[in-house]
Amino acid sequence: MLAKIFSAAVLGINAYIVEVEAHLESQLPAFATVGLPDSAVRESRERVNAAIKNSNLPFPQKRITINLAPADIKKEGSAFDLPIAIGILAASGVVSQDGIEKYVILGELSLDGSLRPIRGALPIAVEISKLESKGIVLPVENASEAAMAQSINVYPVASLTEAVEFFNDERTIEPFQVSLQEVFSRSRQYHIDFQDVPVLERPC
Amino acid sequence: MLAKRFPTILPDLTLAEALETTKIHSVAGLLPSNTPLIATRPFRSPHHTISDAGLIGGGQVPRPGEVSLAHHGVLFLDELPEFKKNVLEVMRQPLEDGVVTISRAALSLTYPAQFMLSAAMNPCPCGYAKCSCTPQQVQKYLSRISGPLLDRIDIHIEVPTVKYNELSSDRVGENSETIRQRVERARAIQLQRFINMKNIFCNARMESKDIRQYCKIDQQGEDLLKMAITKLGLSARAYDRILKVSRTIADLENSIDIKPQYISEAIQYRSLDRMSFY
Repeated sequence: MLAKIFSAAVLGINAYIVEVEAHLESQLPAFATVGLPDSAVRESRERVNAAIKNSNLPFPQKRITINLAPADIKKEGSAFDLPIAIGILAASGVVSQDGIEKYVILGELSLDGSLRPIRGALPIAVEISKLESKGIVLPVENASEAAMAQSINVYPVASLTEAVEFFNDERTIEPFQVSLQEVFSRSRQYHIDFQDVPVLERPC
Repeated sequence: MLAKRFPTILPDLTLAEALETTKIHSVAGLLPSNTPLIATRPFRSPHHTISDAGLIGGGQVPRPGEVSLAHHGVLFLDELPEFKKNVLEVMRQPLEDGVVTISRAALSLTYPAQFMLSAAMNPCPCGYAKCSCTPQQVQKYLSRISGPLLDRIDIHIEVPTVKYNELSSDRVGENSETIRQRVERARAIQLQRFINMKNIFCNARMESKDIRQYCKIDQQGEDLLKMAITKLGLSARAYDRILKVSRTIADLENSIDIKPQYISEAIQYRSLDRMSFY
């Protein structure tokens, strides 16, 4: 019982793809995360556990192994919560394995199953737009930022339940679109002006 | 007040520059959810208690610091002598190279850091017009800023206290739009000048050999410069900077030649180099 999810992480201002592998085995229930996770990634098992249960989804009573590949780069941050949760649910058959194929998934989970914003959505979206993928699934708050990358489908989700329904084809989410040119020209205004400075005579 | 308005007179960000700046803010987690794109030049003014890691970036997995957050914008350091000395010195390499490389045991990362440094300071510790500081106190205060750092600052200018009638007058100065148009005109001249060169798009990015090629001065200007360098004891770096600034003044005046008066204006902008010879 194995599931593979694509996610991503930032290194400097560039991003790279991280493969999140979830493996379930019928042994005493345990949860191990490998692939150089930092403490925020290691703590994600507590969030994932609570979020799955509070979303009324079954949490498998098995030995769970999560691998974050490539295994030689240190992974940090909380953006792997959602891919780990989806990975566990896909490995246990709750989420369709075909549904998750070619999506890149990111998001921090709250204990009640809702999603919190992540860091680095734009560099990740830019990186993914170079690859062949169906799109990126991330928290609603990051949608407009990721959409700046253009030429990539951005699917905003608000909670774990929404994500599960989306991958199981029980919910349709329109790709979030925003015109880069429009945002660019709209937000170019400064709200301050040199006119407000008292006029000084030139020092000599 | 003045420094905060500095970004408003700089040429508009291009789309590529805006995306690059936004990426840095996104990685640092400082992008407000209602602003998907930073389309105006950033203005960063860290408090003087900032650490070196806070300024150039740091952490186990290094995060961008203030110099990178000010990429394509302005980094303003108010009360410059109050900053810790080692904090100011770490800025030298990014000021020179436009990037900052942070190496830690786990990994080494490079963040872009092309920013315009702007700083403000009092002439003495008390900061009052009717100063009562002793020369030693003033000297000690000024020496907190190292020569090499001062060398890298192109324009030093003394801002006199605002007189009452200036404060109360209704006279309004130029608006940012007018000033920016002037800046953009000068930038257009510079863009034309460096059309065949990669990586150079404005006078500030010229290297020594480009300065020799593009900043030719006449005999009168040369005499002036020679006198300034020998009398004021200016460094080789200051020499390059004076030429660059005078080239820019000429561009702003739409003049092909660097006239002697532009050179004398540029020399005048090195007032802090001269201060130590009071």
